[in-house]
Amino acid sequence: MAKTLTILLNRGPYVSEYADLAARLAIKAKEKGHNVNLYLYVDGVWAPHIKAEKPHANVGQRLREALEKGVNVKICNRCAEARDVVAADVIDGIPLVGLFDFIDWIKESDKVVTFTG
Amino acid sequence: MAEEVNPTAEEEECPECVIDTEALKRRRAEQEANGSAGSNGDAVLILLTRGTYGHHDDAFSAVQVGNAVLAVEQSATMLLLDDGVYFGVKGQDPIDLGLPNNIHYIQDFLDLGGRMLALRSSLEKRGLTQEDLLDGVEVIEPAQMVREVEQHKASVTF
Amino acid sequence: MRFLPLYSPEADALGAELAPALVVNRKNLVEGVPSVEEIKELVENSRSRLGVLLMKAPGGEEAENALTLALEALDQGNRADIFCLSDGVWLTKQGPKGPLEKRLPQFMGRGGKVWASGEHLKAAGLTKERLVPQVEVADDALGDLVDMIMDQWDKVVVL
Repeated sequence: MAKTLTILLNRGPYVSEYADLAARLAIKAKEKGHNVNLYLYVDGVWAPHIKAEKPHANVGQRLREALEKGVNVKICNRCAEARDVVAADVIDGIPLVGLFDFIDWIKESDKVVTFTG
Repeated sequence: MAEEVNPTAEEEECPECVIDTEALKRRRAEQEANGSAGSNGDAVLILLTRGTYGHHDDAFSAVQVGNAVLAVEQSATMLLLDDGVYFGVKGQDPIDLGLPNNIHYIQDFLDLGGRMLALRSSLEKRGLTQEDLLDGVEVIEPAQMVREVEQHKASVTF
Repeated sequence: MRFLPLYSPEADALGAELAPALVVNRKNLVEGVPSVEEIKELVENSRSRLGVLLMKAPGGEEAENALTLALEALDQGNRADIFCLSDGVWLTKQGPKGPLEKRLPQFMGRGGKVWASGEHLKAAGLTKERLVPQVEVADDALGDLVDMIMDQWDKVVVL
């Protein structure tokens, strides 16, 4: 039976490597056959705001790849609303949800890791 | 197992909405009265490494996770280490900063059955002792930190 | 560690067909009469394995707490690994680091394993000869980390 990994991301793009690493780990875990969930929390809600093409590698690209590969991605709506990040601002396929969705994911997961700091 | 109390049904319309702790406390009081309080076994450990008002959102967001875990009747333990120990100090009053007081959320967390631990070495580096901490925050040694990790299903870090 | 009664529901659930059967932590199963070596190996592999994922450089408290946690886990008879990712790879550089300088080799000397992400070592200009001996370089850092998290570690803590 496939195992489930949930990743919590608390940071947005550029200020630190954590958003990129969270997305890359999610992709790698998915490629290895695991179920993967990625919850965007605190400043992590900024990560999917990167929609346009850039001349450099960016977390928006990585999130799109993660979604294509079947990683489940959700955004904390409280954190998003505090930052005026709305559905239209972010990459398609990432619903704005409550914190309980994250708690449910923890319940279903074999392992949980956080990218923060 | 009791149904989830799910305030998020209203969250789309509630920009400032956080966990409805008053409802949870009422429910917990009922459970304690009829002897059905307690966790269903899945325990979440929340490490907090930042806790000052200069870096407020991590700590606030951490305790929201704690209260949400408690709301679905799992157990939650917050482990304060590094600058996270500042989260648990007495006498906080950030009113002039326009920030909410951590003490309200900490009290809710403890009232709902959460445990709050502080790593002694982090306190000592900062010249803090048990006396500086809120009632209900327990100072621990590294050995207990390992035991907590072993006894919790998962950990998150802030 | 228990011996299961033959034909018990637990024995059936684990697929044990031969009596006696030895189960450790409800996972590892040996059927027939195990040798002392088999028992020792079984107990060894059933010890809880802690993974500490460190992403911060020394200088802050994270590296120190990572080592404290990992050393304490060994003290309690568990296994422990430290995986250094992102800025965490700086922990693995040789040279004076205050209290950390002794604790990393101490940890490895007692059986703890330390990995450092190859791509982050390269980013930092840290070549293998500059690292504390016995640190392992993870050439497919994220791939190796996924395997650690999902298949090797019983518990994971992130600092």
